Amino acid sequence: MTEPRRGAGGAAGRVRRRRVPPLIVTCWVVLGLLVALAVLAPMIAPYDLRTQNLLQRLKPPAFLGGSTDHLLGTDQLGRDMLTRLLYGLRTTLGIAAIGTVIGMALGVTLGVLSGMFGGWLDDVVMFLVDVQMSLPFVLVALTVIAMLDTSLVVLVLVVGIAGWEIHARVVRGQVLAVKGLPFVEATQALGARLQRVALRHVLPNVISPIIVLTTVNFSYVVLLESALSFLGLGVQPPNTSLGALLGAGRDYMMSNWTLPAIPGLVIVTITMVVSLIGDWLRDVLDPRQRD
Amino acid sequence: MPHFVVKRLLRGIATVWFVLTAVFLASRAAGDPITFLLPDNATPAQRVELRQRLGLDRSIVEQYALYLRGVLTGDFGDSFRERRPVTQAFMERLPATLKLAAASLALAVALGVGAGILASLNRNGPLDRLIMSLTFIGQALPNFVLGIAMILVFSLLLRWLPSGGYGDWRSFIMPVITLGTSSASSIARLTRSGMLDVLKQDYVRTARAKGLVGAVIVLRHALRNAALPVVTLLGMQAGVLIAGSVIVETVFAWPGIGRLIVTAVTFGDFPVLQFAIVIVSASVVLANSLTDALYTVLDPRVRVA
Repeated sequence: MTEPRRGAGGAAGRVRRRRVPPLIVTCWVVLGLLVALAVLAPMIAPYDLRTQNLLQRLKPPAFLGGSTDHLLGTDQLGRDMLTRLLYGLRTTLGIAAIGTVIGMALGVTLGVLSGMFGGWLDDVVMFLVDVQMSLPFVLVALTVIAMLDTSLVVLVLVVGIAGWEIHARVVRGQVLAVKGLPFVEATQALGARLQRVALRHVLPNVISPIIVLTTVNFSYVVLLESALSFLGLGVQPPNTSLGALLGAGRDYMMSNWTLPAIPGLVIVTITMVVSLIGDWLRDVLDPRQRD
Repeated sequence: MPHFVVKRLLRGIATVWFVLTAVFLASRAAGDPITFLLPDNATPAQRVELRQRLGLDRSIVEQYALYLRGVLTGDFGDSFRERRPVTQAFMERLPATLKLAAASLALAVALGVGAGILASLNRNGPLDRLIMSLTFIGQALPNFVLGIAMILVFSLLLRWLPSGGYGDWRSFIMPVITLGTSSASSIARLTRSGMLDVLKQDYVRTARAKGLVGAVIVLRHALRNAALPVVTLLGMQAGVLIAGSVIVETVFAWPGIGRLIVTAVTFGDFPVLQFAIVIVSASVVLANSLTDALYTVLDPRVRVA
């Protein structure tokens, strides 16, 4: 969008800049709540993750007439769904957080090196960026998983390399732009080392776009992990994630529609909330990146 | 052919070669395929015999050369699981995926371009906001959640549509919508912003001053230029649709390439996976190159440059 988006109540762009729109406040609150639930999962979960009770199989949630012993009902092995949902949220957000950080670190490092040194290093990095951008990443992920077999470490690595190329491209571009500025050339002429130029002049210029890209990448990584786990190729039992819960619940949706619906709803909530926050951050931090 | 199309093509070939090599190295690093191919009680003689037949007793360089020769002559080996050429297994499932992807792309273009034009003509009006909100949801909604939500509503609750399988036109409705939604949303957003840029330009004002009808201005004058970024996006949709089909085909039990790939990963069927990756990357690269070529037809400025 070329024009600034209006906040609630038709507030003009200038006002919006100072005051955070209520929708965004709500998003932050929801995100904070989800993160808190994920962090506290082992403490607040009513049952143990693995406790099965075959006499209590496939019970409906309390709001559909089930007992209050299992607020969200139970799955096909009689495990408490609220407990599984909390742990699933924990796994999904945890993997996404680590994966996003890996992608950012890798991308920023390669982007800075590529922009600072140029030459063959730049060619190699940019070729890899090209390759990754032209391939559907799910396929790359599936290949890696087929080769290495799935595990938490493999999964984190796979989602970690999922977003590096965008970071690398943006950071490299910024490095090239900053490198040509007269004052940077002057500091180099005065004998400043590359390291100093990178840390003092380049990094401050790329922090805003990096924050925005990281937000975008975070929701992408949540989706990727969920998709892989949904296919049964991500998080493996007895561990669980939101995607794994959705995939497992799918087999029982004829009788218990809440089994897939609730984890699905949580996944959508995460991606929506993070996307809205990302859009808002982009408007606030980096007006140039608006689409 | 313009210079830059040739350059893109060469880049694309380099990409495919890179993928080929990476997949070759990865599959050799993943372990001995003999263990997948023979039962546990196979005799050492059988192992040696199979190893020789597959060329695994040669040096890695020789194996690589054989592999590349196989690729160039269309021989990608046999599927571990189905015991027949992977090309055969692949071709059998290709029509189902192509039909699904083509229908989804058609839906995405029709819906996306239409909604984008409507939104741009109602800039900041209620219809624009509604469309933009819908496209936001369409982009944030993961296809596996959308697919399952639709099955819950239209198959289980309302009993209007089959919950999966590959049959008559009714079995297409939900998979096509599931696969096409995110593309439709991106296309709508890009069409809208392209139209907004174009509509405020002088030549559109001139057309209006000449007394041309609104529809003629929009379709003949504005859309033609607003469509340029959309065309680029279409090239990228090839990859999006292929990645999406992996999920959508699993959700709707659709007997296509996506399902074949997931099964290959589950069973460690490397030849199938290798072939799928090579074909997919080649078609994505080809789609991008075709997009570039199409660009030169649509935008005369590119031809000169």
